[in-house]
Amino acid sequence: MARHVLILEDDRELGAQLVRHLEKAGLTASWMEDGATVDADTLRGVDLVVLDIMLPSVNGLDLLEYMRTFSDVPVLVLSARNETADKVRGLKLGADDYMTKPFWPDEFLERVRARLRRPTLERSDRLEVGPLAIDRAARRAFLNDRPLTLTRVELELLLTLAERPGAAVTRRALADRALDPDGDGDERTLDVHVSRIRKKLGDRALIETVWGIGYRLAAETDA
Amino acid sequence: MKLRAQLTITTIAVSLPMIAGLVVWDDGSRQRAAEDELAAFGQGLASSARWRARCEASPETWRGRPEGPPGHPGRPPDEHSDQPPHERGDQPPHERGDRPPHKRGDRPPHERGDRPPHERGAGRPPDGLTGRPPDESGAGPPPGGHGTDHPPHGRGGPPGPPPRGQHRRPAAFFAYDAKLASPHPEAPALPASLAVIADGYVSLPADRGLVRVLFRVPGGERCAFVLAEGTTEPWLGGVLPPTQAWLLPFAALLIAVVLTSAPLVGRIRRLTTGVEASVASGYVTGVPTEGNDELANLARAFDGAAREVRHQLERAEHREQALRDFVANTTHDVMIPLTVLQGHLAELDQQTSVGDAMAEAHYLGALIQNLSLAAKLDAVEPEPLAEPVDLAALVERVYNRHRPVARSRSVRIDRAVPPEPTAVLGDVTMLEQAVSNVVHNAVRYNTAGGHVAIVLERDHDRFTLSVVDDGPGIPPHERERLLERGYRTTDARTRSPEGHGIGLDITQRVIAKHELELELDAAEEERGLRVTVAGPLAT
Repeated sequence: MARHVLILEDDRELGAQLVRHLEKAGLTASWMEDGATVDADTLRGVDLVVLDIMLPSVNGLDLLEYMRTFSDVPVLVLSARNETADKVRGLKLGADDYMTKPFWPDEFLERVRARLRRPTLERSDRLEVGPLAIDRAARRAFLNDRPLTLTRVELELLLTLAERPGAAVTRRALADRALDPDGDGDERTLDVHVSRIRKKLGDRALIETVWGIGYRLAAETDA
Repeated sequence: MKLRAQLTITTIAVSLPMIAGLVVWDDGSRQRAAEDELAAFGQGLASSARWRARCEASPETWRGRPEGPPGHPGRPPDEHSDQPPHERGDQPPHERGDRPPHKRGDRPPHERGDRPPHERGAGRPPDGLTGRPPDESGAGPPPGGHGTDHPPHGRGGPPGPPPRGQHRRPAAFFAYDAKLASPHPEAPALPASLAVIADGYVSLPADRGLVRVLFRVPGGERCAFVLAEGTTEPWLGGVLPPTQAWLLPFAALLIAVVLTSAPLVGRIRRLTTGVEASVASGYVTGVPTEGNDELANLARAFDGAAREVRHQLERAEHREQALRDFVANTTHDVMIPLTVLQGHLAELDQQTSVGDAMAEAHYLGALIQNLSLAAKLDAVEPEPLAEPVDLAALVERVYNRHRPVARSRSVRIDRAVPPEPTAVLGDVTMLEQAVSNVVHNAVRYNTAGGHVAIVLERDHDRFTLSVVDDGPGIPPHERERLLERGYRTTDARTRSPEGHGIGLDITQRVIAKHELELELDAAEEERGLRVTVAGPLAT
C-alpha cells in the first residue's frame, strides 16, 4: 500500500509540482493550500505531512504545535526563509526534519523517503544485505545461504560495512575497527583485504570503492 | 576622594595668601601705631623742661633713660604689630638712611583726620600711658622688661635682629643738633634733609621688632632733635601670637569644604555609575537626574546625550532591520519560483540535457542564500550561536542538495559520516551554508568524470569535516590568500570556472565566527582541493 503524504503549501505551482514528484515516486499525495482546516480527521491515514512554514491564514509552526496536540505523524517543514530560529523552533515543536527552498525534486524525495523509512529497532544477531548474510554471534558469513570462508579481519571488515548498508565507510574507520593496530594496521593492507573479500564474494560489485572515502556495501534499497 | 582633596587643597591655596596679606596689613598698622605711640611718648617727655635740660647738657651721653618711661614700646598693644622681618630687619639702618622716610609728622593733623588724634598728636601720651606723668614714670624700669640696666640690644653694635623672645626693652633716645649731627658715638647718622620737620615726627627705618621716630625738641640747640627707638612686640619672630582665634574661621572654612564636598562627591559618583550603567545597557536606561543645581544639569545633559545616542542607535537598527527584512523577504520571494524552476528543469533533464540550466538555477539559489547570510553575518547578533548542530544530518542535507546538479554534470559525489552522533555548537543555517559553498565549488569547478567526497570524522572530542575533490585545485599561494580574513578577489565572485567560486569568503567568516579551523590543501600531489573544517564537538 502506497504511503500517503499530505502537502500543506500555499504556492499553487509548487504544490502541484510536489504532488507530481511524489506520485511519480509511487507515493500517494494530497495537497491543501491552507492549514486552517487541519484536524484529526485530516491527518487520518497520513504517513507524512509536508508543512510550509508560511501559510496565508496560519503560521506553520503554530499549526505544527496544534497538530502535535492530537497527532504524532512525521512532519517535514518547508521554509523559504533560511532562518535558524525557525529550524530550531520547528524541531522543538516536534518537526522531524526541515527543508529550505529552493530544493531539487530528488532532494525533496530523498528527504521524504528518509522520513517514511521505518526505523529498524530490532537488533538481531543476523545481518542481511542483499545476497549477503552475517551471523554475528557465530561470526559466520553467507552468500546466498552458502557459507563463506573468511579470515577474522575479513569478517570484521564485511561486518563493519554490513552494519551500515549503502553508507560509505572511511578507510580509517575500517582500519581502526578491523586491522590489528600493532601489526600491519596500514590502510594499504586494507585494499589487499578488500580485494580478497571481493574474490571470495565472486565478481559481484557488492563492495563498492568510494572515491576519497573508502568502501561501501551496496544496498538494494539505495535507488 | 580626589575631588575632595582638590577642594581642600584649593581652599588652603586661597586661604594662605589671604592670611599672609592680613598679617602684612596687620603688621603695618601695628608698626604705625607703635611709631605714633613712641613719638607721642617722646614728645610728651620733651615737654618736660628738666628732661630737655639734661639733653642739652650732655647730648654725647644722654640716652634719656633715667627718666625713661616704663617701657613704652615694650607694652604690647594687641592691635599693633611691627614690620615683618623680611622688610627691614636684615638691613642696617645707616644703609637705608638716605632713603626718604615717610614724613608722617609733617602733615597737618587734619589731613590724617581718619586716625585717632591720640595716636599721632604731639605731646600726648598714648592711651596706655595716660595718667602717668612722663617725668615720674620715667623713673621706673620698663615693666616686665629686662631691667633698666639692660643694654639696648643692637644699639652701637652691628645691627641685627633683636633676640627672639625679648619682647620688651626700654625706649632709647639719641640727641641731635639742628643739623642732625649727634655727638653720641652710638647715634646713627641721619641725613640732614630730615632737619625740616617742625612738629610731629618722622618714622625711620628700623631693624626687625624696632620702631624709630625722629621729632623736634622745641627750643633745643644741641638737643634740637631726638631720635626715639623702641621695640614692638616681635610678632612674627618665629612665635605665633598668643591669640590665634582669627585662625578659627579658616579652620571652619576648611571643615565646611570637606563636609560639603562629601555629598557632592557622592552625587558625582552616583552620576558616574548612572552614566556607566546607561552605556552598559546600550543607552536603554537613562541617567538619574536629581536636584536642580549644576550637577543636576550635568546629569540632565548626560541623559539628553544618552537619549540622542539611543535615538540614533534605534534609527540605525531600524534601517538595518529594514534592510535585513528586505533581503529576507526578497530571498523568500525568489526561492519559491526558483524551486519551481528547478523542478521543471529536473523533469526536463530526464528527457533532454538541461544540465547547464540546472547548474545556473543552482548557482542562483546559492548566490541568494549567501546574500541573505551575508546580511546576517554583518548584523551584530547579540545572542551566541550555541545550538547543537547535528553534523551528520548537515552533511546529508548538503550532499542531497548538490547531488542532482553533480549528477547532471557527471560528477560523482559521495559522503561518509560516523555512526555515532556528531554535534557541534553553532548556527545550523550558517554552518550548512558554509559547507554547502565548499561542496558547491567542488562540484562546479570539477570536470565530467570527477569526484567529490564529503567526509565527517570524529576523533575523541573533535570533529573533522573534509570536502575533497579531484578538480583543478588552487595554487598554494592562492590558498593562503583565500584564508586571509576579509580577502575577497574579484575571482571569488566571478562566474568563470577559473575563479575560486562563490561564497568562500562567507564560509571563511562563518567558520571564524564559530571559532573553528579552516584549512585548504591539495587533495593529492598538488591536484584537487581538500577543504577541512575542524573543531571541538559539543559535549
